[in-house]
Amino acid sequence: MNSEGSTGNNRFDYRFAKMLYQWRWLTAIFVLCSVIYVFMSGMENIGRVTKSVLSISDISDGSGQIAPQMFDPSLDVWFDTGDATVKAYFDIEDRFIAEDYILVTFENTQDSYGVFSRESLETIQRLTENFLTVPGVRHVRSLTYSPWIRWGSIDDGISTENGLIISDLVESPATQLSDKQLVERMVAVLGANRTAKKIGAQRVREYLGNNANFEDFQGEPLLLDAIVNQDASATAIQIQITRPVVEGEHSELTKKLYSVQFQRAALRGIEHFLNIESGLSLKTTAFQKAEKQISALPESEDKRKLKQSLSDPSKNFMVDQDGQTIQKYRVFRLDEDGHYLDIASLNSEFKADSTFTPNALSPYNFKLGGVPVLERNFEVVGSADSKFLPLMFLVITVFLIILTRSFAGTVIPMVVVLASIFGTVGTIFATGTLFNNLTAMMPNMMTAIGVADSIHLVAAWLLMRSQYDNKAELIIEVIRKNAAPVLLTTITTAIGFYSLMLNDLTPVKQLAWSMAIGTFIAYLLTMTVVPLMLSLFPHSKRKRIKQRDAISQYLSTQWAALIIRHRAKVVGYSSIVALISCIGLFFVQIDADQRKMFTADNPVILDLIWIEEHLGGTGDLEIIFNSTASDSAEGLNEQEAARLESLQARNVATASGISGVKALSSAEMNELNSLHQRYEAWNNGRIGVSAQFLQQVEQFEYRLREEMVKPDSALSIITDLSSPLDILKKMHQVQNNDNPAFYRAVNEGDVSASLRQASVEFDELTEEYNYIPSQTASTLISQYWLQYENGARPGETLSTQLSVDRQHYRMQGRGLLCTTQEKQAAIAKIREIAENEFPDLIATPNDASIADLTVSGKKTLMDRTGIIIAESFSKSIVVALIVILIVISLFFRSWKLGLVSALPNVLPIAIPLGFFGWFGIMIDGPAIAVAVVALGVCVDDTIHFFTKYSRAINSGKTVEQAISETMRECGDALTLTTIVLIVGFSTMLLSSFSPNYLMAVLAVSMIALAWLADFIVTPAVLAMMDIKSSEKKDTATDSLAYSGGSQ
Amino acid sequence: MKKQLLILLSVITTISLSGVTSANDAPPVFDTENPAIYGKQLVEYSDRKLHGWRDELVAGKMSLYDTNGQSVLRSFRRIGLERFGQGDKSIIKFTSPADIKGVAALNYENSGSSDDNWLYLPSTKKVRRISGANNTASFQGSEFTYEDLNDLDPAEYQWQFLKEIQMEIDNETLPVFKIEGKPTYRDTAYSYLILYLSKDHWFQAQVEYFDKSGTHLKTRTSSQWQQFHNQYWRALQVEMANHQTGKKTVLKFSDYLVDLSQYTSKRTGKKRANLTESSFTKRALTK
Repeated sequence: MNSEGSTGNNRFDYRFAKMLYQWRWLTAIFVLCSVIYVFMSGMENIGRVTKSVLSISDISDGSGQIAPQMFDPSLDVWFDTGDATVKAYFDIEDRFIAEDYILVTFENTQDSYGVFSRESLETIQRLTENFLTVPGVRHVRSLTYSPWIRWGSIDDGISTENGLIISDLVESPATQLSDKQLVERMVAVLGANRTAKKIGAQRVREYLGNNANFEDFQGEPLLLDAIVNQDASATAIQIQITRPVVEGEHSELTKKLYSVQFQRAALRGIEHFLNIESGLSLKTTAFQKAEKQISALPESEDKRKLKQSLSDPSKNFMVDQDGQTIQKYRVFRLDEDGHYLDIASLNSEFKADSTFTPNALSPYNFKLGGVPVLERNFEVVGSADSKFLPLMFLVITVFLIILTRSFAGTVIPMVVVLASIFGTVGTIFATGTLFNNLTAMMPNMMTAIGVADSIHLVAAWLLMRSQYDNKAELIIEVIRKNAAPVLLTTITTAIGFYSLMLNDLTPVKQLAWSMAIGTFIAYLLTMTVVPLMLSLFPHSKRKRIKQRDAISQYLSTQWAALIIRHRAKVVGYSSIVALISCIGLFFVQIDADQRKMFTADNPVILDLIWIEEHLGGTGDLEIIFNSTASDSAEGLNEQEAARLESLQARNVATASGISGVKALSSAEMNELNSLHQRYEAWNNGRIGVSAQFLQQVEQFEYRLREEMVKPDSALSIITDLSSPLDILKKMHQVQNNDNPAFYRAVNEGDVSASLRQASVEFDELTEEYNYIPSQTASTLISQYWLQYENGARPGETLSTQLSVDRQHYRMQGRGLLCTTQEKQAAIAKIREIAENEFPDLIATPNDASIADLTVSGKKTLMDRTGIIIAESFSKSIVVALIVILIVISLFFRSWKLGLVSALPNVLPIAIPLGFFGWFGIMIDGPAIAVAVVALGVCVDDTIHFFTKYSRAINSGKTVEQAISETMRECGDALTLTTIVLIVGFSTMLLSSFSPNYLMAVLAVSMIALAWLADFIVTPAVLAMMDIKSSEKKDTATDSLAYSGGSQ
Repeated sequence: MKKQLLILLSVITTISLSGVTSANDAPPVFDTENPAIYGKQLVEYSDRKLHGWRDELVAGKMSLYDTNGQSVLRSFRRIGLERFGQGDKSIIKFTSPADIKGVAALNYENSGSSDDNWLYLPSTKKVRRISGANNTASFQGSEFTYEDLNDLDPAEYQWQFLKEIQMEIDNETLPVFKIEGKPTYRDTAYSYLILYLSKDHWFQAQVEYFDKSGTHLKTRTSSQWQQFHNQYWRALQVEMANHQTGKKTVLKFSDYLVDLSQYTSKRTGKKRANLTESSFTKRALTK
């Protein structure tokens, strides 16, 4: 056999294939050059982004080596800004200052005072002072550096007077504290009972006196369980990291990347001081030399900058006075074999140093926690998986060699794969988009598509080599046979990916459009570069191939007969399996438990678990109360407020009989009433100064705390709650001579009756009458807030918890690491308590509540993102499946064919997910993304199968013959693609990041099942359809006029 | 009583003397060769030059802006008594909004140690002594700390003259001295600050504050300068912008009376008397 007849040569598909072959150099070079151009443009764009990030200010480690910014590690990208809950959270961030916390913790179980020992306090004091010098650190809260507000005797050297004393818990050097001073501080923080339990009641009585009631000394709720645990064995230093305000014209991406790098720099600085504390950092000789030389320089701005570089803890490299980049510290880590490795060297090889022994300043083992630490862990572990990509290419190459036993069969698919990846990467970067944890899967997905596209041409070429004498005719026939089905698979795969645009999450959308474009890039490369490369290989008709053909023919005939014999059983059983699996889909549980995402020995997770065991949860919980009146009632402007006061003053003055004051006219009285009503309406919305609201919040908090200590309650995952009420209660107690009975929310009884009446007094200074408004519980609260703000450090101000307009009130909680379901249950429970027991605090339609609460939290949102991704992927897959089936129906002009194609395409996806559902195995949301790739592979297989089958049927073959021929023709390619992809994705099974591991499990099982479905279910379904009917024959004939024609 | 009178007398004498001194003080011969000495001389001279104002009364509006530009306005009245070399005394009394109207704070500056403070809350009708509210604490929740508001004591800094530059002040380009100052006292939030001192008028046109990590934290910009009695410069607007949080506080002053004895009483038509120590007592706080 040697090519087509004259009729065949005139067909469009033949002419098209011939044209592609004739112009192969030009088209291939054009496509390759375009790919290179797109890639270079993308990289250039990335270079610009990196440069603009660095132009804001230098947040590097000082080494001068900065990798291009290709990855967007910020969590914000994962939040759907259209989602109401997410919007509510960003409102919180906007309203209150957005910042993150890093926790540095340690324990002291040796000393009887625990972390209140002088040695521990000295360490805390030293670290606190050091951390305050780290760029990006806004505030530090620790056992030594926290406001200690109390009532006591103030001696200024001239007189003694009782008053409010505000100081740091430890002001003088900790080593100089007497035993009494230590006990005093322990009681202030832990309370008397806990202190007595720790050091004995007698020592507490020595300080408090024999008649003291221990119950009156409850400790400091803002510090207890947050900065120190109840038995004072563990402590945390809470470091507040600022989200930088980027001034000037910069893109959102640049600002975001800068913000992330800024936090990383702060984290480096904190770790630098911990290394020094643990004796794991040593000054290099170059640094010591630079220190001496710089200190000898005359005072100047340059010297100041050099000295700043010397002391900048976030940079381990600096440019010295001679312009040389020097390493400042050697940093050591103990490896698994007990050797100290120098890990700070720029030469990436870490060297063991047998001479090194750490000279620690304190004996403690420090643990780090907080969202920035966790975020970095995601990036570190996630990026570690990129090392599997070369391994995947290597394994695929090896398998291509084994399976094709051909140089062309190995090299050509790899060229298509690599060029497709470069083209897609270039497209992503050129549009100013960076990789994220989802789009980072793009190379794996493009590998699947590139191999699947090219392998059909290569397999056809290998298969038909024995049948053609002429190389050109062989390649033209290879193109002709595959151009249409590969185009169709490209369209259906692109539809699959593009359906993800239905999602609202930015990373999913990015994956959707980039993969849709990548799919077409792979097609263009397949149809241009593959023919060119095939033409470069010498043509030979090998006998061995003919022998293999004979074996292949025998096997395919036997298999076709077997399937046709059992077609009813196959279709029946597979339908049942599909049904059971689909039911299982309803039980699939999506989870994003961060503990389970990493291996058991991940140091960051181990630290987090330790911190949770010793100091309570690290997860954030936000309960925000918003005034329900905020939208309707607008406050008075400055002039109106002045006018109201003036009218009120005159009204009171005339009522008090002050002479010379003109009484209000009726118009003025109306004006007064109107302004007063508006003021009251607005003031009622200021829940932060409402005694009624704060009393309710106090009860609500008690109620939540009751639940928190019940082991079986959904709220048992919450370990701590705090709100501005803690401050208010403290202020109220201290203002009332430290009487514990006043440690409560303010009520109207706290304001003396004589102060409730407004009055007018003459002011000697301004020489005017002065209006004194009536005093209420609300004015008392406002004044307490002002008093607190007047003494708090900027990092402790009220504005992070209570909005300046007093209409938004923030209660913060800390929760344990737990499953998404547990978090959602806790949120539901909080809302349930509010709805059933505190209706004033939660808005329901047509009610008169004073506030409405929202429950949120960054980690909670992250978990929710996983669920949103999973839900939207499921939605997209269903939409994609329907569209693909319609496309198949149109292409083959058979609705029945379209419908039956559903079974082999649904099965591979439904079985693994349904299995997970039935057996209650939780799935990470992003892992489900791989189902789209699996769907693409399934549909590809089905289309190739249908195309070949239709041709065979159309040429007059029986169903059995047609199936046998189809298996022989495309079986090799389908099997090859399946094996290659399974092996490729299997490399990800080595991943220590569970979402990636799970993705590999799903990919491997789905692709394997797709192969089985196309070799068992598809032929059985086709046989069941009795496609030999004349009607179908006509349809097939018509359709093949486009899709390839008969041979 | 006798002791108090003696203190009062000595205070009045000091004020009078300092007033005389500053009025006739010609610039000294500066040591421009040594930046450390030159810087110190400039700040010391500015400090002397600006004193002698005796007392003052001013109405102020404080706008607190959050990151989104939303703001709240608080009005106050401030009276101050100059006690050159001993630390000034002042009372700030809030006049609006209504819920904090009447809240008043009395402050005695103590050079070299923490200030003495008393606070009056009208809802409790009590004056409370407050101790240890440190320098680094926020002033009424604003971007100003007490450290920023207190008079800058030249002896508590290590100075370094950097350069002379031109700066836009109230739409005029004027020469200023750029001087770096490192606090030598313990209770500070800053590693250093940069002062822009007007060469012609000796007021602080701008101050940049750098936190303990050396990062630029805040900038205080004073504008709408007005000279009183041909001698004392006062900025009618002072803005403190926090570059790390994006928040800012703007203080606007009006109805300035500098040295009350130079004004006539609206009520009596006679010359007003200067404020005395008796205007700065706990009792005065409640009025």
